[in-house]
This record gives sequence, structure tokens and C-alpha cells, in this order.
Amino acid sequence: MVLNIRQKQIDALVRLLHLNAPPSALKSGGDDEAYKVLVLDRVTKDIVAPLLRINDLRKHGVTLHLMLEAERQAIPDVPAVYFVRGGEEGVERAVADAAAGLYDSLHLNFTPCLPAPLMQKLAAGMVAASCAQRVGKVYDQYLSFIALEAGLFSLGLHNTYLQLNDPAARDTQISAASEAVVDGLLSVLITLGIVPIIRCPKGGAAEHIARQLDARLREHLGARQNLFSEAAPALAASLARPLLCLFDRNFELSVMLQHTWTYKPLVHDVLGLSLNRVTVEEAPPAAAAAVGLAPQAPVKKHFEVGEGDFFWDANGRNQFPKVAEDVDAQLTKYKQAVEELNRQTGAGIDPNGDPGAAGQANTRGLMAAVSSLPELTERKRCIDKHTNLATHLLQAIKARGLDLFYNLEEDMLSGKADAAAMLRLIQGDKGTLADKLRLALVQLLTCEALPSEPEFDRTTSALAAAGADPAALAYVRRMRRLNLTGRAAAAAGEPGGGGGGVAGGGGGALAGLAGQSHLLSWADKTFGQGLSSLTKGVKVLLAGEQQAAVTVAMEALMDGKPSPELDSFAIFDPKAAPGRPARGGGPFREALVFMIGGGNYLEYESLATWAGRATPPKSVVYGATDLLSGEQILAQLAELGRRSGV
Amino acid sequence: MDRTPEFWRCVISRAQSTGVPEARMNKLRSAQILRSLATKTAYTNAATEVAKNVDALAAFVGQHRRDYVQPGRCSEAERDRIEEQVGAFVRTCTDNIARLEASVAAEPALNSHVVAHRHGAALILSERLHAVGSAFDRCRSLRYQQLLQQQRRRRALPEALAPPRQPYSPYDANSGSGGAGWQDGSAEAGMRPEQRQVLEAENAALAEQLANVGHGAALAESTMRELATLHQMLSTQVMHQSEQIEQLYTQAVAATLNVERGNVHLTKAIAINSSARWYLIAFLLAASFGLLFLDWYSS
Repeated sequence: MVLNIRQKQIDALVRLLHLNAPPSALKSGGDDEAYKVLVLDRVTKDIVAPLLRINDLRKHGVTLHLMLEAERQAIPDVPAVYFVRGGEEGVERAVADAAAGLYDSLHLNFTPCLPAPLMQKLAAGMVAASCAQRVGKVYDQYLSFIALEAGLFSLGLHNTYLQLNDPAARDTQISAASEAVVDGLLSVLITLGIVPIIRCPKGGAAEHIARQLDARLREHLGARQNLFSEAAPALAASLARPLLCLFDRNFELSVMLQHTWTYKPLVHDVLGLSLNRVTVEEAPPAAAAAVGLAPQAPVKKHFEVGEGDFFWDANGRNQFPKVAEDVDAQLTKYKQAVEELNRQTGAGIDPNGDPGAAGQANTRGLMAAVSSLPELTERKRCIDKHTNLATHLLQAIKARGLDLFYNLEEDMLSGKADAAAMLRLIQGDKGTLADKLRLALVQLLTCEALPSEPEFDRTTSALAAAGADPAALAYVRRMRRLNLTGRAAAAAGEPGGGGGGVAGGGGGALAGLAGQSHLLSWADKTFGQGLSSLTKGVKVLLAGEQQAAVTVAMEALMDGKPSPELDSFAIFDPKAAPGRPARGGGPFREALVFMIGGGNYLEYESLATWAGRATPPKSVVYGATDLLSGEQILAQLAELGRRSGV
Repeated sequence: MDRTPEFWRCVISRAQSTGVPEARMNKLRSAQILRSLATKTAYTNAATEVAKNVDALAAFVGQHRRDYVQPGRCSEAERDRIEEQVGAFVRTCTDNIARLEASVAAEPALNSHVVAHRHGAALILSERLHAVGSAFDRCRSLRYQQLLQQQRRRRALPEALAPPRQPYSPYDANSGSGGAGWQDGSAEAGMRPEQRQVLEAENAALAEQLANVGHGAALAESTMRELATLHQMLSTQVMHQSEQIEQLYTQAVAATLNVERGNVHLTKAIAINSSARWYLIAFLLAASFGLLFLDWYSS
């Protein structure tokens, strides 16, 4: 069974929108509760945004969606569905709205759940305003996570890495942060309807959170029997329980800082992908400027990518040059289809042919055209969007010289670090300060032995000369010295380093990773016209196959064979009786991987590729507290460096 | 997870603890049960009615879809009847939706959220109607494709009949010539076989011509049918386009308002400019006169 977290969340939301009526009672349109108003708050808006667009909401009968905090006006005879976080604010606003009689009836859905004291407060407020009859239903929804793709989710908790690793953090802050993570994980498990076996490296935040999660799961299993069985009765009886692995971000930090070359991670890193939405700034078209109008501010354009976008799904894992070719190929295919359509619909009538037959063929062609036209326009829009994105990516790559950084980092990852080349790049003028810092950090994290003092000083002075802030570098160096992170740290890291090269060597062509790279020079085209890619030279060889350390660890864990390095991983089994030592469990076919502190599309991709290639094919769902780009985690590291006073 | 019973327990216990009178408690509970029977505004009732109609239409289409699409299930007349009914239904529903929209615009003193909500409800209804309509259009296009195939098959058959006619006429001619062999019969009897031959040839020619004309008519009829379907499909697209054009129009109207305001600003600016020019000229003149005066004064 493939775990599809996005579909499950959509199902839960649709149920919510139909006022949690039992499925047999679902009527479409003829009943009184057909038109509703949806009230969201900031957190739940992020949850709903990637899943349901406004037309989808309308299909389920939602006419308006409003924010909880905004001033809302009365709409007399309409039921309102509230989908808000189970906190003080939600309860207070609900009571205020009910007292003011804004809507006919309120159906309250709290996520993840409404704690008992707040329930009391809600009841008290309603009684005081004597409007308790306005409340239709009160539900706990356990949906506190953002499902971006079928196998990818995020908890939307920003700065968790900073909070958990901050030396100056108070206990309350750390416990609050870990509570939030546990809530999110619990929501994920409840939505999927599974009770997994939990494994995590010993010591550190992961074990702490795993322990808490275990306790909460036991509580749920003990108290309400039906919470897990009502979701998926078949699953409860299934023998193969999935595996949940929690990792701390320090398990492998370099994968977050690396420069990437595959499409999805590039879009996330360079253009900023958030909630399946990309925002790019476009300079105003040159024509307008030439006419003499006042210079316009760069226009912000939004693009939605995600499930259902055929190009995104197909090319997410391809390297950038291949993506460019694919865009080109799709465009030519589209043009051919359009020509075919034109031909069919009589643009080229044979004058000597039999008019009757030609007429028939024409009308048939017209009918086919009319029915296939919307699909073609949709395809064209998609191709245009990706052309746009690819053009922006290319501009950024050329401006920052990202391919140089990428190649150098690939060298470092395979152990052939070239300090001189790195210094040259840092002192050069390609790439932003963040890029240079990331390069230095990757080198620091992946070299076999810690670099010596003079080398390190040279690097720091080069960076300082370029104007970058070396706080992050100092912090990482200290951490490495304390053996808290990096390749030398995790027990699975060492064999992972060698194993990664061999296990990932399925492609065979991984021996020479560096390869040559030539800049792709594209003719600058305006939006909408085709691309004529003048790809000169050899493209980068299949270098993205380096496996992340997480993948290697997951491979070992899912096989379930006991081995010394795996014993350093703690096991928690919520279904086992307390006190009995939990078994590791045999080979697993499904797993959830969760990174505490931040995740990244590159790791997700590495896991997904491995899972797809494994025999038998395994299904892996990847999640993190937040999906961070290289710059964001760099900022957090720098902040940590400053706070720990290095 | 349903926490409604827990909520009601909390409410009751809270009410009892704060000493709410029993009467109000009962009123509370009965009000909750009777809430669903509360009066709704006219708009909501109308919208629910239309929604029920659209559902009925969808059910109707679903019911008859199998009969309609599969060949041989029901006659052409029945299919035409179904089409007519569906068309009438769709028209009434569109009218109702248009009336709903008009009522929103007509009613004054409504806050913007209510207006937006009502527009949204009307939009939901029209989207549902459109979905049902396009499903029916798909059935209709299937039907016409089948008709096309039938026509093609029927045309193939008469052409198969044509060759056998060829051997028929030589046989006639033979019998005619055999008849012509009775030359020593009466002149009338002699004329008849030849006449018959000519007549028969003429008949054959006429029959072929008529058959051709018949084919042409059948072709024309099928083309007309197809045109009608296409017209229907195109008109839905055009309707879509017209909606978009309307949107563009309203935006353009807003833009013209802006342009007018801009014009007003420009005229004001020009006026200020010209007045500034006058002031400048006046100042220069005054300054030069002052200079002359000073010169005269000092000399």
C-alpha cells in the first residue's frame, strides 16, 4: 500500500467541508446546508492553500473564505465552518462571533485538538452569551501539517533548528518547540491512520521527541479505541507496520547547504518555492520603457506548481540541461498538435477533392478540435510557465555561476576536495556571499579531517575580504570539533560514505563525477515564444546520484538486519506493552522519514529515487519541520554562531 | 473526532453551576433542535430550489444516458425528445440563476460580505449547470458520431447494389433485342421493345440521378445535424468568452474612470502652470520697473 499523505489530507478536508456528515448522508446541493462560509486562520490557510484552490472549494459549496482575525460582517442564514488552530484566539473569536450572531450556525473544527480547559472556556463563553444553540458541531481534526506532494509534507514550523540548538534557550522554549513537533507528527500519523514503529538515533532532540510521541500515541490508543481504527480498518489488521524514523538535522548538515543541479531543488533554492508556489520578479517589458512611460517597478508573478502539473512531475528529478531539452521537446510536440488540429479543421482544404467527403472530415475534425482545445490550452499554459521558470533559473545560474559551485561541491562530497580551487572561487566575483559561505561550509563538513588552523584562517580571511559574516563557519567548526555533526559523526556516516558510492553506483557512470560543464547559452527570448536552446558542449554527467546519508541509513533500517551501527538507534513501539523491550521488526516496506530542524527537496529526491529503485519497491514519505533553502539554514547557523559567541 | 457531546455536557454543567433557570436551559436545547427549521431568507430558499432543479436535471441525464448513447435502444424521435427536454430545463435553470443575480443587485443596504456570498452561491449554481450541460453535450457528440457511422454504412450498401444492376441491363437489352427479332410482328409490337429499351434506359438514368440526389440530401441532413451540435458547443465557449469579455469590460470601465480622473488632474496642473507663468511675467516686469525706478532715483 502506498502512503499518499496528500490524498488523505484532501479527503479529511472535504469531509470537514461537508460538515462532517456521515458519507451516506452526503447529498449534493439539494439540502439546506449547501452554501457555507469557511473561516480560516493563518496556520490553517497554509494547510488548505496547496490542496484546494478556490474553484475546488466552490465545488464543495463554499462561497466565501474569510480570515479569523479580519473584521467579518453578518451573513444571516448561512452555516459557517471554522477551521482554526485549537488555541485561545480561536475560541475567543468563535464565542464573539456567536454572540454577535454573524452566522446562522457554527461548525467548529480545531486542529490538532481542543484541550480540555479551552473546551470549558468555550462552553462558559457560550452560556454567558446564551448562544450555545448556534454551535452545530465541535470536532478535533488533527490536520496540523502541510502536505505538499503525495510523499512530502512539512509542519510549517519556522526556525526549529535555531530553537532546538540555541545554547541560550530556556527549557520552556525548547519544550514548546518539541510539543509543536509532536503535535504535527501525531496529526500526520492520525491522518494516515497508522501506528508505526519509531526509531531514532540515540541522544539529542530526536530521542526526546520520539519519547514524547510514543507517550502520546499510547495515550490515544489506550483512551479512544476508535481513533486509529475508524480511519482505516484494513490497516489496523495489516501485519506490515510502517517504520517512522526521526532524525536530527545535525545528522547530515551538508545536504542542506549544497548547491543543487536538479530541477525541483533548483526551483526551491534559487527561486524560492513555498507551499507549491513560486514568486518571481520580472523586469517590465522593454517595449514599454522604449515608448517613454515611467519606469515600472518589477512585476511579481506567481506560478503554481505541484501535483497535476505533468511537466513538474516528470522532470522534477532531472538535471537542469535535460529539463531544458524537455521543455523544448514539449513545445515542439504542442506545435505539432496545433498544426494537426488546424489541418483537420479545414485550414488546408483540397480543392479538387470530393466536397462531401471533405465537408464530413471537416466537421469531424471540428468536433475533435472543440473537445480537445481546452486540454491543449492547458498544456500550453503549463509549458509556458515552465519555460518562464527555466529562463529565470538560467539567468540566476549565469549570474551567480552556480554550476561552478555545484561542481566543486560534488568534488568535495566524493572526497576530492580542492582547497585552492575553493579559495579561488571565494575570492572571485561570481556568486553571492551566501553561495561562497555555503561552499566553505560544505568543505568544512565533508572533509575527512578537520582543516588545520592556517588553512581555516585563510578561508575565513578570504571570506571576510569578500564581505561575508564568518559566524556560521566558526559555529560549524566548533560543532565538528565536538563531533556533533558531519561525516565523521554518525556511525552510519562512515560506511555510508563508502556504501553510498557503491550502492548508488547502480548507474555505473558515477566514477567521474565532475565532468565538464559548459554554460548553456540560450538566446534571450520573450515569454511565450519558443526556446531555441543552443546547448553547447557536454552537459554535466550524471552527478546527482550521490546519496544523502539519510538514504543510506534508511536502507539499513528498512532491511531490519541487526548490525552494530543500527544498535545505536533507539526503538519505540507504542503498541507493545510498556516495559517490554520493543523488537526492531523485520524488513519494512513503508516508512516515514522525519527531519527535525529542516528538510530539503534534495534529500526528498534522494530518498524517493532510492525507494523507487529498491526491490521490492518501497514507499517512503519524507517530512520536515520546514522546507529550508540553503540561505535560510545559513541564516539560522549564523544566528547560532552569534548567540553561542564563537 | 467528534467532541460535540462533550461540548454539550460542558455547556449544561456550566449553565447549572452559574444558576441559569431551568426554563432557559430547555429553551436552549429546543432552540438548537429547531434551528434547522428557522426561516431562511428568500434568496437562500430560491437558491436551494434552483440547486434542487439542477440536481433533478443531472439525475435525468444520468438516467437516460445509457438509452441515449447506445445504438438501437431508442428511436431517433425519443432521442430528439430527450434533447428538447434537457434544452428546456437548461434554459429555465439559466433564467433562474440570472434572476438570482439580478435580485442581489436590486436589493440595497446589504453589506459586502452578503453580496459576495450571494454572488458566490449563484456562481456555484451556474458552474454545476455548466458541468451537467457539458456532460450532456458529450453524450450528444457520441450520438452524432454514431449517426455518421450509420450514414457511411448506408451509403456503402447502395453502392454494393449498383454493380448487380449492370448485368441486369444487358439482360434487358438482350430481351429487348430478342423482342426486336420479331420484326415480322405488327409495327406497334415492334416499336414497343425498342421503346421499352429506351424507356428503361431513361428510367435507369433517372433512378441513378434520384439516388444521387437522395445521397446528397442525406449528406446535407447529417452535415446540418453536425453543424447544430457544433453550434451548440461553440455557443457554450462563446458564452464563456462573453463572460470574460464582460469582466474585461468592467475593468476597462474602471480604467476609464482612472483616466478621467487623470485628465482632471492634468487640466488642473495646466491651469496652475499657466497661472504660474503669469506670476513669473508679472514678477519680471515688476523687477525691471523697480530697476528702472532705482536707476532714475539714484541718478
